[in-house]
Amino acid sequence: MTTYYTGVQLADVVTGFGGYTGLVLVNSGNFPIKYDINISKTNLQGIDASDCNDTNTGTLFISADLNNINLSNNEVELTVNPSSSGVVYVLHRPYRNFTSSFITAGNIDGYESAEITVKSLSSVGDEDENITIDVTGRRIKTFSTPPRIGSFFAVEDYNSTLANPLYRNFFWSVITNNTFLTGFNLQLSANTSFTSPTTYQYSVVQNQDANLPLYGNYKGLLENIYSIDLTDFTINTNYYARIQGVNNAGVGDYSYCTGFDNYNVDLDGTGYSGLYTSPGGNLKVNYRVLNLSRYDTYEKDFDLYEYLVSQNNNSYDFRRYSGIYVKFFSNNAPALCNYVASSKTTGAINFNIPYINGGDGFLISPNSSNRFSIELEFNNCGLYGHGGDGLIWKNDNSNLEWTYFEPTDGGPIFNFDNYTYNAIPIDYYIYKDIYSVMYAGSAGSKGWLINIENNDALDTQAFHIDGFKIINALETP
Amino acid sequence: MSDIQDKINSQQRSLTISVDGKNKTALLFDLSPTVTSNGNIVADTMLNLSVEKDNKKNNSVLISSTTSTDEVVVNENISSLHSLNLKYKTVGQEQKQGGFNYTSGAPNWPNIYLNFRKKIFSNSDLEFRFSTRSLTGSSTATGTWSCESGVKNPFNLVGDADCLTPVGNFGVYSYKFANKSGGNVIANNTVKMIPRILPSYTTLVFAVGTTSWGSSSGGNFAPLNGLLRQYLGKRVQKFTLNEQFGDFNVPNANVYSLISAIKTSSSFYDWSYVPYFNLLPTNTPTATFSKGIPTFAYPVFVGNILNHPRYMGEASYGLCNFARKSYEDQDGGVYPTRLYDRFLRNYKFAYTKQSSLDVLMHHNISNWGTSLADTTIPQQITLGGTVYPSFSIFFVQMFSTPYIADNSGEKSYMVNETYVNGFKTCEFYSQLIPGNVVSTPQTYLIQLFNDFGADYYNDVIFSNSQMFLFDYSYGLAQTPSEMYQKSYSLVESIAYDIKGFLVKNSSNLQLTNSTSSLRVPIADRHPYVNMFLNNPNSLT
Repeated sequence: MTTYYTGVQLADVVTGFGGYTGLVLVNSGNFPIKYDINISKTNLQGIDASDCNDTNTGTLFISADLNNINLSNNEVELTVNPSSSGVVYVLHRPYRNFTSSFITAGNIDGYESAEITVKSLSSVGDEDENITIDVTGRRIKTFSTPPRIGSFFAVEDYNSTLANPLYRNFFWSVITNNTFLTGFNLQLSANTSFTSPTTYQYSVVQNQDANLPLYGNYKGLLENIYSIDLTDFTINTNYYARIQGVNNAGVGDYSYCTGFDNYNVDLDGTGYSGLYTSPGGNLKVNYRVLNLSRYDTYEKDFDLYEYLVSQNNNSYDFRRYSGIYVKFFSNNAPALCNYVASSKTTGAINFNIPYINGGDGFLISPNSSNRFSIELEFNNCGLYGHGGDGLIWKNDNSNLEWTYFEPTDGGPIFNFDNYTYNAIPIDYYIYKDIYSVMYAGSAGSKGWLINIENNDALDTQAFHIDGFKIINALETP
Repeated sequence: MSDIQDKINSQQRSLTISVDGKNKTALLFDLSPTVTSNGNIVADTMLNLSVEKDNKKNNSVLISSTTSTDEVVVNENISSLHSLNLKYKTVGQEQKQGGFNYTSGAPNWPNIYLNFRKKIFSNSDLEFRFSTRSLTGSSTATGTWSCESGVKNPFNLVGDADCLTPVGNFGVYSYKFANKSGGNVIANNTVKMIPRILPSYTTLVFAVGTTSWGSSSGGNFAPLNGLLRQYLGKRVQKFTLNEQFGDFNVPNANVYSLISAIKTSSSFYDWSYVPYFNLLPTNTPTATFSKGIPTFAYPVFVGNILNHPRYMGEASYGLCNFARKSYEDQDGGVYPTRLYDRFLRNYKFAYTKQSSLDVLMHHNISNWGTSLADTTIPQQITLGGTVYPSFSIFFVQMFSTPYIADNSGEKSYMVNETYVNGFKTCEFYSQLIPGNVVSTPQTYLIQLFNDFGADYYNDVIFSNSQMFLFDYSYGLAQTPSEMYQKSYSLVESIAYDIKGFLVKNSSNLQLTNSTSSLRVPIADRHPYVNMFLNNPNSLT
């Protein structure tokens, strides 16, 4: 048993756009049904090829797939399971452009019609009578007022080649079917009332493929995500943005912009529908703090510089940021993660900036205090400087003379460069939890020389005892 | 660790010198960290020289490489013909401990700052909480310590009029807890709560400041007389066990009742002059149970480790596990393994045979200099216009965990153990008998007690000390692991709340600027700051 309509009025489609209307076939029986759908008797009145400068003549055709179009397709096979449905689309063959004489002559719209025949064959062999559906449609030259634009947001980004390297990348979408737009007006304002805004006109790109509509595809403009980079942003200045659709009928309602700091955008329903209230979010751009987290078990001479560069797409250009915040965690908390130093000239944590190509190896931007901050937060971490070596005796057997190496200094906890780039100094902030420890390395000890008092040859027969070193925590895991 | 141990083993040896073919001298050596006169922490090669005569140990001399710069002679007459003279001297130059940041050549440090990060703890996890977090400079003296909002059983702790005076510094406010001679109870409350047998945790954070230094025993630090007494669980009876003992798998326990009249008390002392924590026979808590159930209760915890070992032993272990057996011998007593901090505090007591009473266990954050301008002068704690040269902050963590000791039939026992800062202070058994269901709120007595007048050592003057309260919280957990997790989270959040005191600064503490680096001597290290380093700029 198949339920169907005997007549269908297709949605209007305007010049330059494609359009479709779906016919749903519902199988309410108990067995799968194979449908053989044909379109015939296509007819267009009021318009011909000479009116639209187009080589594509004809009018309606059908397809089972909106993304895989064959303009000459007049037949579709469709199998529908019981209590399920299938869809066949009736599409308007695209007329890419009407002649101006046609538009201005006050000609009537084009009327089109066709007949769709559906032949159904049940899997058990039953064959129903053919279904015949008459379809009619219109090609109109009059645009309707553009609907509201949706999903309008702007993401802050960075381009080192720009005079003002921070900019915003704007995104928006058409969110309703059969939306016929030829462009958009995007306005950027320094005030919430949009007094004297800067308007950016964005035209919908025309297709060159004659098998496609002039604008968009057979779904209209749906599914397209439009974007534009605006680079006129001044740091720490208020900005607001709104957008409207444009076509021959005029302009649509404004949608107001939502701002984001990164591309992991999660728009809520209001933002998606374009109903964010005026003036939208403040799109002020600022240098950001790069936030990082890492978990370790043990590190020796940890190279913070190398780590930061690796986390910045292997770039030492950090001018997008005015600061960096790194959280260090122990993999085995509450046991401490130990960061140790291997020598008295290295720290458990090292931030030493190399010269790259003879220039600065760490490019940064200032915060509001005209400085750059590196903030390191340690959670369940032990930071230990290197323990100095104790005195070490040595003996040259050839002459039986003893000499020694002096004990050495202990090492520091950190080894941070005092660095300035473009008059921007780096300030370091060390944050700790109550479990983390920070011990500088102890100095090595002196040695001993012992002998029996009445032995004059003290240095040759004496006992020589090396000094010791203290290794804070674990220098080896 | 293995490197050090290997080296110790490889070089630890004895020296035998034959005289007249039968006498010998033994030489042992060991090492430990030590603090030199200019504040450097250096490895210290220590020698224990002794002369054996007729297999008898004699004239043992313990010497340190950091103090023995000249030759010293150990003289022993080992026979009628000969005497044995040992000559020893240290060799080498004293070296420097590391600083906070490395520098080569002339000091050229960047600006480096230190602080704590915020940790969040929700009051909804607590049964009650008193905190001074909301105090401000405009707060006035009161006799009521009000409960914070958001806890499950809010009530107020009421004491004598105006016994709590808000005082603050570094952006943090505390209640100065008025002294009252004779050990009177200053704040005293009975509260009613529905008894619940679940793992519980109590946290108390307080400070004791002393306005005068020294004592007759010659220590550099003022005595600490903070005495805190807390009566816990005056009467507990009749529980609905099918809900609360779900995790204990009590058999046939549709309904049990706990029949026990329990009264126990715990006192927490800090006796700076006690060299290591001890179990004193005084102040033994009492526990009375019906039906002759055997009861065992530990004596009161007394000691000067009022911070949990979690914040003491582990962090110091790497540096301080070289404490030698000989220390124990010379002290002649138990040497608790957690006393690394004592060793750090004043390691010299062992071989100098100083009185161990000189060893101060609490961490006096007043000693920590925080001024880059002059790193030798500590910034003292000033509160309410009074200077406290000695000022220590204590975090007391108490855990109480119940479990079923015997669930075979009617004689089921519930055991409740209480630990204070890692040491068991109380353990009681209670028999569980089915039959009754009572969930009536019971009366509990909660006290905060400041016995400034107590004189446990005759040579100690207590009258110059003052107690300051920061936080007092109590919470329940479903499991012991949850109990620990919550308690430590709570302590972390409190440490953040009072971070101004820990870094002695209302914002970030600057550790280095272009020319100066702060010095944090190991002796001034506070467990919650837990760092030590020297000031390389001050060394030559």
